[in-house]
Amino acid sequence: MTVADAYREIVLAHARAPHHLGRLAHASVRAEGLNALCGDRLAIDLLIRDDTIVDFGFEAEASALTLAATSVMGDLILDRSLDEVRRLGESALEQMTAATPGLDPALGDFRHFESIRGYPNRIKTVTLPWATLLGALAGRERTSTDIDPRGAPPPERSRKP
Amino acid sequence: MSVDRWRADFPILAREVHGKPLVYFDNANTAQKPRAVIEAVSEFYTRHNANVARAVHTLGEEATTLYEAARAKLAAFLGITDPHELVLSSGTTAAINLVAHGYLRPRLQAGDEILVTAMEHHANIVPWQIVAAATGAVLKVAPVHDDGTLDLPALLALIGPRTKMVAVVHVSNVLGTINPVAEIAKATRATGVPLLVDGSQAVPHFPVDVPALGCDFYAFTGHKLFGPTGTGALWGKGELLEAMQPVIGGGEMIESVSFEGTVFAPPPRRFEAGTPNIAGFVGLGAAVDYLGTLDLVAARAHEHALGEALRAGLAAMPGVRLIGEAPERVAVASFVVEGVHATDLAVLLDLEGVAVRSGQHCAHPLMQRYGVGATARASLAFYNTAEEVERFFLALDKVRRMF
Repeated sequence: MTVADAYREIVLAHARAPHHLGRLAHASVRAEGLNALCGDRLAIDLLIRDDTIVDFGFEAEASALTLAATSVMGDLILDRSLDEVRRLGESALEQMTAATPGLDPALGDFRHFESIRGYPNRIKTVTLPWATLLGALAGRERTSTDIDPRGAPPPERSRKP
Repeated sequence: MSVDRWRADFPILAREVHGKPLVYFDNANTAQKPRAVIEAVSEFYTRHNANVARAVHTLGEEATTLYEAARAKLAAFLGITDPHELVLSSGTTAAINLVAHGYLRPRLQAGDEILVTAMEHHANIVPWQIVAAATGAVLKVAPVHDDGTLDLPALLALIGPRTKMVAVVHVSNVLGTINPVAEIAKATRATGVPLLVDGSQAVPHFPVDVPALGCDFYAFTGHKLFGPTGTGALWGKGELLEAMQPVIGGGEMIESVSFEGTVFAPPPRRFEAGTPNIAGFVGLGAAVDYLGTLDLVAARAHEHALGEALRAGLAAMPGVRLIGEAPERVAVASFVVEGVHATDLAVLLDLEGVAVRSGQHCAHPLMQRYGVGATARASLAFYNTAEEVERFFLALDKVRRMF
């Protein structure tokens, strides 16, 4: 696979017309994702009933890679139990960051991003939605992929002089 | 063409990226190194490696001679008559931090002001914020006009009785704007406020006679000047350096040490604790020598003309917005393309062999000023060619058609 594969038509189609674009009026959980390296900002909303994700919405100021990855993620997580979603999320982050990736067929179109593995800066654009989602499920309002592509709390703003 | 001769001096320019010849347009991030620099570093480790200023054996003397020769070459390159006024550092960031902590902090009181501009690199913002937070001083910011020029009257009006330091970038790494530092220096001299100039993006592009600018401190980095990374320097007026406290203590920076007290060495050694990047500075000295072998006037005219062609081409493209169009500028062009995020642009241009920077360029406040999350930036050096500019535009066209 080459980097161009990450921009194949199916990915660009997601980026041009992302699924699940827009905030939810009634969300159970809202969270923010930040990737300062690229200046990306992502806001995600989840509607959860009976431990199942029944709706997902997002807004982003981000690259096509981030938009497409978030769109694909939304397709994957709808109507899945939180346990399943956590497992998928771990699998997606593993695919992008582990030394020997497992290509999980359950990841669907997300596997197209496989080709940007090994680019330590770029992978943060596509781990951002999953890191933000897993952070949100762990009760974290803001997640950053700046230091760790798998996601971490953003550093606190230093106190004003 | 002279540019072919110049290119031949830079081995990396012959490499391919994704099967395409490299077009390196990220020179404001770091410049490539001529063979003379690479060989000087290699030669140092192969034949002369030893620590500086301590050993009296042959290698130690050779290393010291080479290191001090690099200081002298850099000083001469920048019009500095006394090389002892040049403190060698790991780069601009360390140089500015040295002034912030070694000069300014002991002189700051709550309510004092430090004046910067809205177009500073984080390296000329954060050190001042840190000393301000520790002392209760306040950071003031001079605004930038829409076209990327500094609002000079506004800056001058912000210099007041509480101003204890003015810190201004000579050339913006994002906008390419050349700031009127000599005019600013006139005002700071009249009021007795020290002026620090961040010259990182200036010294690679045009001749700088540092003392003639009239500033008090001048910081710059070696790796943008075709030298190794981890090299740079702070020039300071002799009496200011003399009055400065060391920030890092250790070996090399002392006159004498006892457990009752330590006498610090005079500048510049006082500020060069520990073993420096000796090979790096030998390489930087070689970079200065190399630049001396070029017709720099011709090289820089070529670079400037290419930069103007690049800007003109970008300005003519529908849906492209140039960020920064100051009349006084270097060959750096930041831009946003409607419908294409800067990260995608940079990744996809890279597939065509074209290296540009994307993101916020260590200048978050400036990005906010222009209301953009990220920009792409093409920055040139004298070894770039008209053909590369053409290839850049072909690649840019191809990327735009994808979206």
